[in-house]
Amino acid sequence: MTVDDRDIRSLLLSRADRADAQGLRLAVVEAARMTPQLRPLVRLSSPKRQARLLRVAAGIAALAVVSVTIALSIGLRPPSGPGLNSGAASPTSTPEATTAASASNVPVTPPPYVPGSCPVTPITDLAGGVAPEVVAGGIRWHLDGTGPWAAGVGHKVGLFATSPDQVVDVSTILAERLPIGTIQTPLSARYPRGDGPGFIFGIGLPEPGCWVLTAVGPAVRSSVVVEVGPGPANPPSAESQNVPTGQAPLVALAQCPTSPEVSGAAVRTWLDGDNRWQDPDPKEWTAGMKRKLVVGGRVSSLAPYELVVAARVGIVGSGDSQRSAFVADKPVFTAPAPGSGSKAMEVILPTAGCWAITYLDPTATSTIVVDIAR
Amino acid sequence: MGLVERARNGDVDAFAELVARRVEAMLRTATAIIGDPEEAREATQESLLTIWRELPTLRMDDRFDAWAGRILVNRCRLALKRRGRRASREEPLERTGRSEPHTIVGPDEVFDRREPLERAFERLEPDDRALLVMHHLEGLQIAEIAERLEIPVGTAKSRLFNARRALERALEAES
Repeated sequence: MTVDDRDIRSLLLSRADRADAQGLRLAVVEAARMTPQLRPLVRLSSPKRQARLLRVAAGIAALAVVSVTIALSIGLRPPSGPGLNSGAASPTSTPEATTAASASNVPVTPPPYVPGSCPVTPITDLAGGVAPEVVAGGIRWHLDGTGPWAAGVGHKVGLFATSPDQVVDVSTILAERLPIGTIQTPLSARYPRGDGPGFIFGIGLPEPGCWVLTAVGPAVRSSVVVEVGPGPANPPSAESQNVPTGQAPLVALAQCPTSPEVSGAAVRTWLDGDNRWQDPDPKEWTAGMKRKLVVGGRVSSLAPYELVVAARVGIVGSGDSQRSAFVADKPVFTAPAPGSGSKAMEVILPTAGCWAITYLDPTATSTIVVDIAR
Repeated sequence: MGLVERARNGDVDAFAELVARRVEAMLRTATAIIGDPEEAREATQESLLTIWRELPTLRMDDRFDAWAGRILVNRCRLALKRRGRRASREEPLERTGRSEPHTIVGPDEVFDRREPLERAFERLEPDDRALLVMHHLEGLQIAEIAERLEIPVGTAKSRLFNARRALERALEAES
């Protein structure tokens, strides 16, 4: 059966005539006013580079001082290796292990916040000359660059695609407070979802410290670390700033957005961009099992710190009633074994379900999502 | 300084002018490809926002239209794929007679001879729809299609031929 050009054109014209452009231009322009443009990667000017290097060096030095001071003050031997948790802390911390540590030698109150001590993810670009932009896990994070982040104050974060085809569909944002030095004070919160070619949301972190933010969705697994300083004397209401105020149960996602696996690989292998995670154990990964993971790719060969954070993926509330809240789950922290190239670590995930596991070092973050059987 | 250059430098008013000149044509293209006016509107809005955001990465101003058209077509393809995924999730068994979700047809069109052709078009892959729309609705020549899709002219020609053949086969099936 043949179709002539006139029939096709007539068909397409009738389809196109259904279009209704009313208000579209205005909506687009308004959205553009609130959307920063992507600036091509630029080299920071020399003074800025120097300032950034100095900040990183100061941060690492402060981290070491705090770590040694705290370890000595609580009667533990000082760290002997390059890992954040090496020395005083056990290489693998389950919630049970954390609880035990809390009972014996860890203060209940959070450690003092030391400015510049956080392993902040290096910025990729300065969008519009001011907004720090970090590309991690295939999406762009635009972090509020209007001033230092403060506890209890909402900050704008934009999550944007890195290609025109990509849709940033995020089911939930996980926020975990990182340990400083050898002390672990787990705080775990979840923030509601968003999707589109990019979206902007407000996030208020409840306490000063180093926070790892992880966005998880059907095709999104991405983490960054931000540093949060003390809040103002009279902070705005927590709700208006999207600061979690209460604890709520975690609701599992309908489907765990697990990381893509390499088919046909000799051992189970997950991909995260240029990084690959391997799990040499052929047995099924179940809750409470000690598991060895090896991460390789763009991770540093010799890093002054490496850290792995695992937190359960889920939401608080459901549908439109999703909200930000603390969750009872305690994140799991562990330190990879020092070495060059790929990094090995032992992780025990205490409960079944969907987990996001994030590796951090001074130059890279890498996140995978796994579904743990009972 | 031209509108594209000004918009690239962050001038929202210049971008608003660019949008004003193109939004209707872009929406008509998207509606012809996707079929559903709401989905087409969404795809057009997302495309224009992507264009705004990615504009600083465009090196040659005279390539703006081809580049913007490519972004729109990609977004339409994505919308159709998402629709297909959604349809397969929501209706796993009932619609065994049709591989595509329903098209909204007005009362006047019930006896229209275009109806089988419309349904046949709905059966086409997103890429085939886009090619036919570029050529028969937008009036792009083969070389212009090749430039927009960043493919060789010969490839564009054979893909357009195949798209037309796919439409004829689909019409056969519908009739």
